[in-house]
Amino acid sequence: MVMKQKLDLLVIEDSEDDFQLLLRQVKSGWPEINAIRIETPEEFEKALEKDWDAILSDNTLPRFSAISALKQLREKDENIPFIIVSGTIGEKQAVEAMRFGANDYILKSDYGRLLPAMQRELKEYSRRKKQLYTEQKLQESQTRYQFLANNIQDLVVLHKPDSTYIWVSPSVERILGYKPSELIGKLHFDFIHPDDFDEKRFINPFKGKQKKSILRFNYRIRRKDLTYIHVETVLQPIYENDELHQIVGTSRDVTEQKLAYDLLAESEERYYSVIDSIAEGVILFNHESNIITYNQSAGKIIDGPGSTFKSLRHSLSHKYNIVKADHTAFLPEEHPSQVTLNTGKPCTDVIMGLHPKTEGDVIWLSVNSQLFKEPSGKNGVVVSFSNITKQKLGEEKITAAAEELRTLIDTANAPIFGIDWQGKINEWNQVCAQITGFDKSEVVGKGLINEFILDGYKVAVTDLLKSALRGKLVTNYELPIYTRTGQVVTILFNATARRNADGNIIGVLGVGQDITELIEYRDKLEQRVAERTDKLNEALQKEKELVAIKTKFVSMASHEFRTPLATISFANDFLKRYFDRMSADERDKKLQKIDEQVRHMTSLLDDVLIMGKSDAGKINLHPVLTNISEFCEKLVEEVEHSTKKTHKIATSVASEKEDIYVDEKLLRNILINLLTNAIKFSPEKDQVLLDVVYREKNLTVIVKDYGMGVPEEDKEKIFDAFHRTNTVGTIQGTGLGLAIVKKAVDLHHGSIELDSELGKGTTFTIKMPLHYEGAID
Amino acid sequence: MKVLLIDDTLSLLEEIKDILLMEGYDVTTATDGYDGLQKISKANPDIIITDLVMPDMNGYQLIEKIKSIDKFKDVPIIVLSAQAAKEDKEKAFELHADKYLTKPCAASDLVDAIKEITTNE
Repeated sequence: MVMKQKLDLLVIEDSEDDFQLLLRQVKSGWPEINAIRIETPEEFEKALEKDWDAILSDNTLPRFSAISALKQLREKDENIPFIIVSGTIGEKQAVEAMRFGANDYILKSDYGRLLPAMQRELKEYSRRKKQLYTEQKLQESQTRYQFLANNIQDLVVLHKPDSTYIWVSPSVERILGYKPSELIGKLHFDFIHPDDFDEKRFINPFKGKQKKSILRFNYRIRRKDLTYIHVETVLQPIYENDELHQIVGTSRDVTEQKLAYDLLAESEERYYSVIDSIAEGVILFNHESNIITYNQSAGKIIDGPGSTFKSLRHSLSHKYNIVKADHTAFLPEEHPSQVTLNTGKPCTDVIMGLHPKTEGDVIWLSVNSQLFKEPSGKNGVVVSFSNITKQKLGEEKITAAAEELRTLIDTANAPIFGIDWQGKINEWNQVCAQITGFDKSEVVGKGLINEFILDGYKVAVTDLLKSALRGKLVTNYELPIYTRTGQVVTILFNATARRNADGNIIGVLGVGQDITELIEYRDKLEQRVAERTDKLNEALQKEKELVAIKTKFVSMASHEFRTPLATISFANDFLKRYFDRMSADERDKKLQKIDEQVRHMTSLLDDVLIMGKSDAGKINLHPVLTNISEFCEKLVEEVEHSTKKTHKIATSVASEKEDIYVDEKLLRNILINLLTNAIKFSPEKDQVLLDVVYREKNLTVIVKDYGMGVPEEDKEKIFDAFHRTNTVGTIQGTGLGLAIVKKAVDLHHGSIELDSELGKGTTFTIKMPLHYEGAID
Repeated sequence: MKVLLIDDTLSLLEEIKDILLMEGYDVTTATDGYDGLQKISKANPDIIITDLVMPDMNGYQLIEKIKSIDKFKDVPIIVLSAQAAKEDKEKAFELHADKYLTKPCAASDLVDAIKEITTNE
């Protein structure tokens, strides 16, 4: 054994000098010595709490002795070397000390013997300690093995190479129902289930195998109750002189595990068949992106029918250019499997297009990927995918159609706008932008009603859009909306509910046309039509009046003409029939009468012509410079004469100027008619008044009589053609006089006033502005 | 033979009267319906000649009145009117006028009409 480098030494000695002397003696034996000197039993007791390699002791100390120290020590440890070092020691004492367990005793005079004695005793001590340890371990081991053998769970057997049982662990009773003694000498093979007994493997199992081989077997073994349990058995050979001597078999009941495994296998098989039967492709990649496994659909989708593991692997890495939904290339690190492997995050619904490098159509896949733990503990990724080529192509068609529709809406030559359920704008095509001045980007998301509709229309339009949202069709509604400049444009629009693919209403789409100009045009047109209608009605009314007047006029005229004609006719007949019987006077009288009637008819005809002309608007003013006083004087004379001077016409003419511009013909008509009437309708009187005043370009004519007057009810009609009041009696007249006066005054834009009282007389006041200075044609 | 002649146009009234006088009739003239009615009893006419359009009481009213007077209801009436319309004639006949002459007419027409009516009676 190797000497300890350091010596722990306890010295019982009352003399420090002797202690130092002693140390000097042993120093050469160890490189380092840790020595402590004590001299009382108390100190010794305390020192023994530590481990010491050796104890040196003086024989006799004032309060202690080697014998008592030995007694004290051996109670605790019988083996620490204890050597007595003494100046004097009797033989008897020495024997006594040896009896109490001292290993040696050395006289101080014989120090030379100390070192070898210590070395010897320490060596011996070391050997003794090791032996003690081994014995102790052996003891423990034996106890454990016994325990193990009695309590072992597995079935441990020892049998000969031909499987004859030599030893069987007690656990057999629990596992197989046999007592160990019942099996000793029997063949293990006889208990194996015939279906599981594979001769090639079971008989001479270690033949040709290396000596340290351990073999594993799984089979069913028969219990005493004739049932079988599944065991997993490990066989270990025991060779002796290169000959297979015995075999140790350890069997474990794995029936439960086996059943569980079978279930697992079954479920796994089912799982695989499910995985295989689903249309979705599934591929498991390991952490290095190599394929672990895949299902049939995966092969079919990626590789086509008849796919093999090899062809699939080839197809995945070489057959396709992989593209994104927008046909741009997929970078290798963007693949879902890589993304998931790198980040640990799953990917869902990633669209991948497999674009064959040679030829063929793109296969579109929707790909999901997710991490899984490989049995090694490393991350793998499971990638599942479905073939969405049809959907994708359909989608592309729909997208193209939607794009086309969007373009159509956007570029349609009619304002098209859309709102959602909240009334927020979501469509606004170019024409809308053009009409309103607001771009789509400015209006999308804004409320149509609040932002664009005139206050007075908000409620109505809200109701309208609500009913459109309920699916009603709104047609030809005139919608006034604000433009950027604050102007209002009117859109004639139809609104229909906008539905999604499921037929649910998602908003309203309005299609219209800008009819602002049309409306303005229409308003103008309506105004014009109204104006024209008014004029037409006016004209029609006039026409009606004219027709009525004409009818009345014709009837009256015919009547008025027939009477003087009758007079003429009878007078004429009288002359013819009784010419011979008539005196010259009588003949003259008749002829005069005819003459008179002809003149009456002529004047009647003149009046009728004037009326006709004025009604037809054919009379124009022809003012000529006239001496108004002379004109009136002549006229008065004429009237007096024609009325046989029954009345005196008291005339007063007052004019700023001597000569003024008047239409003589019309003024004459006015004066003659008024004066004649005044005379005619005051037969009992002998005077009428005529007042003519010209002042500040206004001509005023007043004609006054003191005759019968005009009845109240006739005052309005008095100026109508052929209207004659009931008071006229047999007074002759054409019924046109005042009508002609009225026309003449109207032509001058003048006024005519009537002031009359029955039985007292009548006053006509005429006022006419005479603006013209020169002749007007 | 007595004639009651009613017309509001004096010049014509005179002419007719002149002719009838020459033909030997006894003529009473009146210038309107009222005038005619006032004079009818005194005139006690064998025939009445009347205008239609007259102030106050027109010819129709006059005829109606005359026909309501027992004494004169059977006196023949000749209407001499400037109204040439068919309706006026019909209305006159409805009121049992015996003859309708439209102005102007020949003196002989009037004389013949009087003779025709008086002869029939």
